[in-house]
Amino acid sequence: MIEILQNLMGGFVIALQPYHLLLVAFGGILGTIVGMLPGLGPATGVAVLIPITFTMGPTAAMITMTGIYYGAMFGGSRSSILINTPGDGAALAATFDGYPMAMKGKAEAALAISAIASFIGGTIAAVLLVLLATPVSRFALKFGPAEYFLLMVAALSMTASMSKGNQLKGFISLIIGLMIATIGIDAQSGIKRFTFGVLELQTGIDFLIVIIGIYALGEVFKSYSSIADGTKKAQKEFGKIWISKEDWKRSKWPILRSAPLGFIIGALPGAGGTMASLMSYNNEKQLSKHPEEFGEGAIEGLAAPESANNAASVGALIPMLTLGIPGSGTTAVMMGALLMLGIQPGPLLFTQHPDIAWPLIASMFIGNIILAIVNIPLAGLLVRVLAIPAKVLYPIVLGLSFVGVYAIAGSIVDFYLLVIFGLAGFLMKKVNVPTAPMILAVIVGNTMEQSFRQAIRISDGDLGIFAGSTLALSLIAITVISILFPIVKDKMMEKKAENAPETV
Amino acid sequence: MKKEKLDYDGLTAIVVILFGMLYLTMSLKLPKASIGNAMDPIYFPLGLSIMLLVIGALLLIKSDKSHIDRIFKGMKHQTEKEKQVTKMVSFTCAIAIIYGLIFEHVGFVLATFFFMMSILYMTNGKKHLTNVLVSGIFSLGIFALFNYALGIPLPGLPFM
Amino acid sequence: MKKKLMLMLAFVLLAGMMFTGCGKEEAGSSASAEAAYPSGNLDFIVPGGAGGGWDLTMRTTAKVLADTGLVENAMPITNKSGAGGGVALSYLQTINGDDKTVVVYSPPLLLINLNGSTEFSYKDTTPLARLIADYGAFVVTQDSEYKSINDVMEALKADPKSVKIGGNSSAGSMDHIQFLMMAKAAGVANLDKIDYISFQDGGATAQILGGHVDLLSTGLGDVEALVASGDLRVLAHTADHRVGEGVLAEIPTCIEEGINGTFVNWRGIFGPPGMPEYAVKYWSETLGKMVETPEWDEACTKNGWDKLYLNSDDFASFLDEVNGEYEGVLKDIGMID
Repeated sequence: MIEILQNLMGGFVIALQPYHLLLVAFGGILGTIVGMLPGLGPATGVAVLIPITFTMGPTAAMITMTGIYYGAMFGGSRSSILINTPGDGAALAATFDGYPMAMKGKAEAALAISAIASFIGGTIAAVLLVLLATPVSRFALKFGPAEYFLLMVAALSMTASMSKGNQLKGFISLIIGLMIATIGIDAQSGIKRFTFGVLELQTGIDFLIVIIGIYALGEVFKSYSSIADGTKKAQKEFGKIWISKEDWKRSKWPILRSAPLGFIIGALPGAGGTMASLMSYNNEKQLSKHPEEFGEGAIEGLAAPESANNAASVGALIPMLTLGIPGSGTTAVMMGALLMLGIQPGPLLFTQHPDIAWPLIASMFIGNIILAIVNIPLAGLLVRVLAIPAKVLYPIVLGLSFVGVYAIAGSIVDFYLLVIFGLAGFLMKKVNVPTAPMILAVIVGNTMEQSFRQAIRISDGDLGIFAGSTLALSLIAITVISILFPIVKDKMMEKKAENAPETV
Repeated sequence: MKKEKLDYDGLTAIVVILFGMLYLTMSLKLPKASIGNAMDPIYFPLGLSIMLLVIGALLLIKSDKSHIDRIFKGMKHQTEKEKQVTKMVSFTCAIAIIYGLIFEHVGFVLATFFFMMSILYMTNGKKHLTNVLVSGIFSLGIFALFNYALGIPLPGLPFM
Repeated sequence: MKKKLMLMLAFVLLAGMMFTGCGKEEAGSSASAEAAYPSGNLDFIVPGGAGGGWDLTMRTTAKVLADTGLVENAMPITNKSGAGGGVALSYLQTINGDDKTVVVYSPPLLLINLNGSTEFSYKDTTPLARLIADYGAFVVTQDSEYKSINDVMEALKADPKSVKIGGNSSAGSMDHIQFLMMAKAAGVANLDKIDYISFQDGGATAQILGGHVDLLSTGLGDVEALVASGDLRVLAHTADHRVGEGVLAEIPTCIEEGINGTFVNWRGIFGPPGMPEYAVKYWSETLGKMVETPEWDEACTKNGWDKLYLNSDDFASFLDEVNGEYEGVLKDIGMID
């Protein structure tokens, strides 16, 4: 323990050098900008830096990358809140309540709480990383195919509650999402499914295209009706970027609860920030005293996923730092950069290169503080986007969507997919089919099916593998609770409502 | 004139059932795997299509079928606004497809300038100066940002 | 309103025609282009995403070429990922005869054609140089019951379902094939009965660490850190000689273990089909010079790569040879007829 603190202090001494501070700030701002652009996430931001890092030396390079990584996490939700266009998967949940808040003229509070929640979530997770990196990495290894399958089922079953009162259509959305996820080469057998001879479809449809299509294009199409009748409502006056006492009271616990959850989910290779933020959103909705406000601009519905997704981004570093296994797209790129610098991440990183590992961790704390400070005035600037009249703003959103999609794989086929999903999103909204279950299904669908078949192949066809470990049983229990809890809660609410008039 | 609120459940159910049947046929036509159990890659899609068909049927049973008829009638008597939105959406999709077709031939800057101009003339009307400025700054600015700052090469100008 | 729409449509059509009309670039290859070659930007294409093995190879090559002054032109790197490299391969077909685009590839270039993912093959490219190699490694946990690669092969001979093999590539691709090639050399029958489990996003390493699969088939370079720390053991690798230094040098080859097979995860540089002769000569020579530089040596040591240069012609005949080997294994497991 003392040793850890000493090492961390040593890390701070290096990370606090003015040159390194400057790099964190530079990385943070660059990351925020990259994160805001739809389709571009932290992975792109870090990749951008690789050529620059050659001249920097490993410590400085890692510190800058951490800055970018964090900055992108902060930035991703800016565009979710302001124009309903998530910068990447992890910022998806920020649209659910962030955008309604902006529509109600509370963009300032939304941007502020998102920065605050990101800061707190990231800091808590950094503390957890310092204390628990090794045990958490060992815990993550317990997840075999069976456990991954159950985790995906748990995540999907939670979305059932998201479409309350509309369950059938929620399921339709979910199943269509799973169908989209079956497109591509099936890894277990090598055969092509539903690719229609299109080469670009062999690796499947990137979920970002689905998200950008349904959210950004869907939103633009929806806005046409207000453009058509000239009822554009650009915000003219802007308040201070801060939150009220009441806002803080509502967000405090959701932020604190979501951080450890996000941290753990993030540490599982392949699960990541998107799942962490969606799970924490559902969690808070179920625990909330006023779930009906979720989706209408409840501030805790924004605070929780923001905290979780930043915590997850810290957790995702664990498999890379302690095992040398990249757990996400971004950490894969970071690892590539480390390798080019001649550093092999893995169990020996902390003993062989303490001069890189500890400053990196220290720079997480510093990066968080700097980003929170930078982001508040930056938000004051960004919020002016809402002053742009809709008929100019939405064409820009369209342009950004297309270039963002192009940046994912440099493929024109993705343009056409984007149009298809834009139309689908528009129609789904029109006929009142919820879109969130579909998106989550696209994200987890392939892993879910593959994990199931991996498990079955390992067990030679024995279904018992799905109840074969304590972890598997706990995941089953969580799924059952997440299905039953809302039902029980509804019943209790009904009873309360029946009893209420009598007590008056 | 206030329009009565229609629920699209019946229509949605029919579309979903048709889609489910299409997906089911395609699943059955999938090639057999040579590694492991030959049917392995097919079970999951098959299960999905059956589930979709069942849920589609449930939704159809629950829905008020009289609405389907009224929706179709309503389509013929769309309000001006609805017609215009449909037009704008179709126009956007058409432009997007042309954008895709010309993108790699004329490069990012020209293609994007054309795309933005077309959309802006639709939403913003004939404010030539604003439209040219927004399209020009956007296409050049994004090109510079991606090519020089982010190191993601976009197709440049032809003849260069 | 209607008028306005018509006007817009006319504008759009006109603009579209104009742009596509002037978009046809002349692929000029006059004598002057040849003399001044290379001029302007060179396009370096990575057929996969940032951070992968191809990406690392291409970026390192570009860096060494620039650092040593062998190439003074700008070398922007583009990631054209998709279909296991197939997307970039079909892109190459659209720039037939181009002289300034190069791309990095490895065995999947052959495999995606053999398993039918794409109609194009290595014959639709211009091989320029083979640069480096990694080798297949068969990895178990420290406490595994398998002490040598022969233990694994004996177990498979007795019951092909008894050892679960994990890997990061999909079925019928590299991690799968390299194991089957060794199993075939060891005399295991029923190759198609062996259970290979494919994991995505590099997850297979975590799966072997957690004990969820029995054996991991992967690249030697990918597990170095975990072998050094003692978490994992490599039973054997597929080179024909000992490679690397330190812990890696202690690992026996399959041949030493009595299994007469090798598998090379080569990485090389290719041009588009029909690349002009002067460009092929330039790249073959330039890359040949590059591999002699101390900068390249240093990069190879850092990344754990085995230097394995072949010039353009030798590389092409090497490809013919390995293509036949891969085809044989895929036929054995029934993935192709």
